[in-house]
Amino acid sequence: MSQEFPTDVMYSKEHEWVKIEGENAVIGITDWAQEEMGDIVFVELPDLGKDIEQMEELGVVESVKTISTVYSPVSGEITEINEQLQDTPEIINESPYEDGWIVKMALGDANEVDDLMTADEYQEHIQNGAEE
Amino acid sequence: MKQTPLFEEHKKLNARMVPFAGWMMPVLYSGITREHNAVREHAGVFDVGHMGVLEIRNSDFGMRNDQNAECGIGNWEDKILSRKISDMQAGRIRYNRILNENRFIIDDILVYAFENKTMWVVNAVNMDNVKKILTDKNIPFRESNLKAVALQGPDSDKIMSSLADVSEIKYYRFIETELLGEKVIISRTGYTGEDGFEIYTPNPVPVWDVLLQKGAVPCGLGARDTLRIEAGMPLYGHEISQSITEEDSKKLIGIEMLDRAIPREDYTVFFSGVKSGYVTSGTYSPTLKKAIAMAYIDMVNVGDTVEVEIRDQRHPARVVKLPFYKRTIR
Repeated sequence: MSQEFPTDVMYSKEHEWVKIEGENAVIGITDWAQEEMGDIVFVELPDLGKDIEQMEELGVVESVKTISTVYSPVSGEITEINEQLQDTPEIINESPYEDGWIVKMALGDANEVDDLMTADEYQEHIQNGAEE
Repeated sequence: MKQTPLFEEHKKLNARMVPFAGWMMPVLYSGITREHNAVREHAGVFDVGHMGVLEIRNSDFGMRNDQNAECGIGNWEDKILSRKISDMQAGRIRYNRILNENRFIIDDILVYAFENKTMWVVNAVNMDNVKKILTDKNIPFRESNLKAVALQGPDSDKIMSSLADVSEIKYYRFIETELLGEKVIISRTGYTGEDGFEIYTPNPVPVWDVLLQKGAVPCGLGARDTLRIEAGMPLYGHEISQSITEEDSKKLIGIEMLDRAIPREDYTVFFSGVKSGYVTSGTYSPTLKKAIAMAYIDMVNVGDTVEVEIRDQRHPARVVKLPFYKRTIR
């Protein structure tokens, strides 16, 4: 039951994480989010090459009972989508920060990372009853 | 919010609790898919203590074959039920629906027939409406103190047999017996498409505990919903409601998605490019490993391809017969 909050990623209030790798970003949803949702059974991914604004809708993650919009924590152009999620969406449950990544993008504005939370700040955010 | 007698047990099991029809109920314990599969493969146990249980004396209901019904009430079964109950033998159960004057559906219920009375098991969400109708029509009723616990799945027979003699209970029949020192009703009924029992007891906690000890997996409303969708069973407020007539409800049909997108309640269905219907309940089916839904769609036949609009995109689906899942009798 204990949740992971890796320190090499930054977190959004809406429970996405982003890992900055030079000019690129990898994005997924947090361990807390996957656990809240339960068994994930469908992921709708954006088109390759799409330009996405910060906080724009990136895709949709559905569990058996819930539908959750994934918002992009940063802006950029989609360079890769996790094709594995089409057939095995449950890898988000199993490995939210590694195998269960959702998209990779070319970062539009590196300064946007300052709007995000560190692992400690995010844990505090959850403990304060993050429901939005 | 009301609590069933099993509320504390759910908390002990770290269930996720949600409000449902005025009750705080467990939606899941270990995970919907795990609970769903437990019922399909072994056994699961559900708290069904939110369901309303009413008792009506036959003489008060003016049964057709009731010699005593001479007080001018007369044949209520013809006026408010979709199926008659006066021909039922004691020990039998019949699925039934309460209808209004225009045959719109007020509730779907199970009617248990006893020698002198019937017991009606009513949806929690409709309990007040049903009581009001009975009161308006001057049909006296008594609210039972019995609470239901459901044991469902292929291992149910083995588990139940170790606690009581249930060998004589056929599908949709019940017995009155003693279980753990309490007088209870045990019926072979359920809402999952599997073999199983529903136990009506004044004291559900020891029943719940012993079923868990015997290996039944606690299951919440989430799995209850995915199981009943696979079994093609309607849920009040979704497939049937006060805005659907008994006759229209017979047109309910199944669809299986041809891709992985999940049809959800109220999504629009297109047939031959024309808006032709809507989804009433949809889910990813853990048993069939594809997305399925029940729907009302005009003019379609089994085998037709339709499209479901999901977030502004149309996804193909095939019209199929209900149920999606039928257990193999062992």
